[in-house]
Amino acid sequence: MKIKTSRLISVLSGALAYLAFCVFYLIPLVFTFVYAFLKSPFQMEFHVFDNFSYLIGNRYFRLGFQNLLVLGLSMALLSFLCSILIAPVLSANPRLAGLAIIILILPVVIPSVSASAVWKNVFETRSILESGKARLALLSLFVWKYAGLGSAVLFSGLKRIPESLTDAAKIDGAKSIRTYFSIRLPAIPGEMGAVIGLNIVFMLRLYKESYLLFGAYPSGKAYMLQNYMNHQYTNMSFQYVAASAVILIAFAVVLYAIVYFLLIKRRGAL
Amino acid sequence: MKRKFSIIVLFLIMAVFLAPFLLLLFASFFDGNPLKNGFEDVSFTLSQYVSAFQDPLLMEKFLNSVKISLYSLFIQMPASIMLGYALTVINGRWAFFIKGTLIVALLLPFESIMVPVFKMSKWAHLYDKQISVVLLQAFSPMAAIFISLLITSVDSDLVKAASLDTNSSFLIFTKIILPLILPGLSVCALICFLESWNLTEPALILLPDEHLRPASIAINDLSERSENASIAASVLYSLPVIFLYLPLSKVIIRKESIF
Repeated sequence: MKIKTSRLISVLSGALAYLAFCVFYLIPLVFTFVYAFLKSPFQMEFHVFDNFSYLIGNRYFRLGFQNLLVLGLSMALLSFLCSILIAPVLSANPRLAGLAIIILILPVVIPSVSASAVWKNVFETRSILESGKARLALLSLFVWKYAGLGSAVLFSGLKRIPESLTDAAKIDGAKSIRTYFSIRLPAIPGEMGAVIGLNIVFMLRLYKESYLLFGAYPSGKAYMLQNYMNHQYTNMSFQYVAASAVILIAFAVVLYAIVYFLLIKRRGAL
Repeated sequence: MKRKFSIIVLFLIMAVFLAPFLLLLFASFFDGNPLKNGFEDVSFTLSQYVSAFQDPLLMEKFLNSVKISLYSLFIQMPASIMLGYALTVINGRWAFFIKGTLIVALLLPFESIMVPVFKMSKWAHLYDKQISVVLLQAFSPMAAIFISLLITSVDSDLVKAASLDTNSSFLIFTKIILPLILPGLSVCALICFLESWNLTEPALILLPDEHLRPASIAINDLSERSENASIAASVLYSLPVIFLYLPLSKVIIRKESIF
């Protein structure tokens, strides 16, 4: 009886915290879907697909979504590639790996406003910037901030690979580069999936860095869906913000599903 | 030879990752914005730090950042510990469902809930008040997921042995589990503090009053008025998190941790 009471108290206290989470995150998420199908969040009049057809016909929405696809995915993939290239260097120097990881994670720790101060001045992002330079500024800031964290996660996975696997490859005459890409990396699909997943999360939250670099109105090729949503919010067109959010959520779900089925689920098979 | 080459490459990589911050730090001690104009014809000066400290508006924003970060941390840690522990006590489908909802909320950006959060804050008369941002950060799902992972990593044999001696979940948690997860909890607290310290979008949406906004936005606006002062302010703003991060970095890279 005492055990049950004790467990009940633990569960109830957790339930309170979960309730608060639902109020601030889960219920608003549900309401986003409701507002996406309303004429306006102030009128309970359902216009099932009008908001979505408006968005598809709006050139700024299409520009933002196109840039999210091209620039956003490029950032996530480039950061992942850099992580793949840095991880074996950490692995080859285990004594220095600790210090290196502290430095590699430092960009994540440094506040975005401080990091963007460097990029803002070096790239002069607040002047009229050509689109290519704007993209380069955003891309380089993203890779600098997040590639180190990804390489630390991959390094932790590489440490767990049994040496017998790499020794067997060496006996067969495989060089270290071939061993890394053909034996060691495929042996850590979970960690690779986690790194790509993290990069997707950070890419979806990119509005912060974009705002700090360019202000509310970035130039053409750096204008992403998140910028469009914030502009519609400023115009109080909340139904379009909600509809864009639904499309953004659908985009995120597709990306996470691809990563899960290609990589993370394979971890169970291995 | 190969080993020396890999050491050189590693040092180059470390230099690339350190360079922007060191550049910012170095540039903050010179006038004339050397980040934009180069380091020729500049002179060493501390005037931008003096003007940053003497700027009452900037200090007000720094204080806002401290208040928002600390208040949300003081609510977030106990709430997340309670939820994280409850997730390990509950078994089966409910735990899976709750964890799933936490992960979904974690993976989606703030734009997904921007409009309902704005409307809710207006309805609850919390709009244009710092408490709205504090509560939003305090019940963020990240810490609960992190803490539930920490608790499940504790050896279950220890918990079973303790449950033979006592029926109290509270005693088992405080005497057995908590001491073991304390290093991980401190890393979790650092991550939560970082999230609040770095706050931008919720503050832009929920705090239209400039005087209530944190320094993470104000420093950006300062660059329009004074580039040198904004560089100095950027360095000052990053120092607290770096001073918290460096001692805890040993915990992060310990063998028992995820790295």
